Amino acid sequence: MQNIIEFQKVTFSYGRNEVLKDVDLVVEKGDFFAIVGPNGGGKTTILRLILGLEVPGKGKIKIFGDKPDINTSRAGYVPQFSSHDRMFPISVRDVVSQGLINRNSFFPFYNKRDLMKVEEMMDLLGIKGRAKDRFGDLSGGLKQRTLIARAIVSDPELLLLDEPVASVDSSIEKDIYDMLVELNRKMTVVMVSHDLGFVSQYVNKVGCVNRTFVCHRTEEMSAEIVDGMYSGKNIMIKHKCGI
Amino acid sequence: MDFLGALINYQFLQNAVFAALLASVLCGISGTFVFVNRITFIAGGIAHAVLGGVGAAVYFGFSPFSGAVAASIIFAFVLGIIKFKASQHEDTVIGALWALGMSAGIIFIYLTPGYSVNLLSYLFGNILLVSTDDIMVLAVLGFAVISVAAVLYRQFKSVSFDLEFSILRGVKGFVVYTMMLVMIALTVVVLMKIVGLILVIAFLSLPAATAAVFTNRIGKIILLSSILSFMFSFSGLFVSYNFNLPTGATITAVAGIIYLLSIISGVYHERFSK
Repeated sequence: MQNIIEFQKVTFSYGRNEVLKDVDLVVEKGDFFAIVGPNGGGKTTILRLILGLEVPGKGKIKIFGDKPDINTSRAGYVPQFSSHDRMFPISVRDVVSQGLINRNSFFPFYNKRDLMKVEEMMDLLGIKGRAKDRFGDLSGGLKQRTLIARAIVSDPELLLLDEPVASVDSSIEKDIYDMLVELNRKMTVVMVSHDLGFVSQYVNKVGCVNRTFVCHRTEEMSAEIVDGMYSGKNIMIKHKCGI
Repeated sequence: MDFLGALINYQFLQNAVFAALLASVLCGISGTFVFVNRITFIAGGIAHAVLGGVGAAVYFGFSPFSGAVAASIIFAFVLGIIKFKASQHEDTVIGALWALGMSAGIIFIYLTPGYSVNLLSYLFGNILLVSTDDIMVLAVLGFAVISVAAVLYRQFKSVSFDLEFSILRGVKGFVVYTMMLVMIALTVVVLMKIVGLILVIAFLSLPAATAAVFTNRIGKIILLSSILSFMFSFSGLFVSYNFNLPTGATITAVAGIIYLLSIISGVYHERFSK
């Protein structure tokens, strides 16, 4: 199996504040990988390292067997939407189109092939009916769908999501997860979540991160652990992961 | 003589209307990106820093206009670098450049022997003094701004909405953002001639903000705010001609009043449609 992401003894600090220490992490092709852990534990930093937005202090990172490249078109990224300006005058269709932007996107219009691709993605994610609406006016769930459409319109091999369900209703959470499971048939999915409970049902690997180390669990996770996650008794996880 | 009669007879009024038309298109484009990026403060900083360029040009014997162009482009680059490379708080640095540019301008002009330049004409502009030569220069600058905007339109839009995502897609964030500031800076120089440096901020924010009450597409805001800018300038010109008022200030006052009215009508509309 090909390793899509490989961290070897990665250490990272913001100034003097050590966020990650000696992190080992392997994501294989086809994985649906959840990185969970408490706020401030370094989850988002891992995503930023994968994307090449940050450079590790020590250790090695390989993405697709190579150094992380800030402008890899092989990875699609879904940021937390709470960071966008609600009043920004942009339609849902335009947000999705931006998933096809690159340094050679000159002059105002997208070509026909790109436009068709955008329509196809909006259809796939069930947001076509809202194509002309202002992005900021959408509900949390639809915004998330729009950002996922933007991330995958370029046909990436790896999809990275930062807290995809953090700001949506719990009734929408399942929708989003189901959709990610569906997308996982075609691409490797890595998501960050602070919510230990729900994710385990959908993903095939979980990595817990809290500054000092990451541990993985595959399908072999014992029923006990899964139960523990569900009933909110995550003492066991806490113990094993050092969280 | 009434305004229209004067417009047909006097070259200076025709120049004024043409300058207003050109400035309106530039305002529509640059103002929209100032508005969506919420960088009115940056535009204001560039406007005031330009005075430093004017002063230095006068002191060293160049044309004030070339000094303004050079200073505006330099400041656009400095601000781009600060945003991407420096860890300083952007607004503190802008505030410092704002004050520094302005004081440098005043000192240079004071030190220039025998030069009795009217500082007020840069601060408040005078659309009625736009000469045919000026028109040529303004047209060249206008062409530059429109070309940059047309070529980089999609990247400007993407960078404005989500800079980090654009960079991850391979867009050269620093280059695109800085080009956007250069475009805004050149617009500032054109506006300096017409409404003056102090009122530039109003002109880069009011038309786009007014347009945004009525539409939520960037392309449409550009179009509508260009039209609005021209309406403001033309009616300001008309009012100032008839009542013998200072032109730049009258134009800006018209823009301000219409903006306030449109917000009120927007709020009204929202309340009644719900």
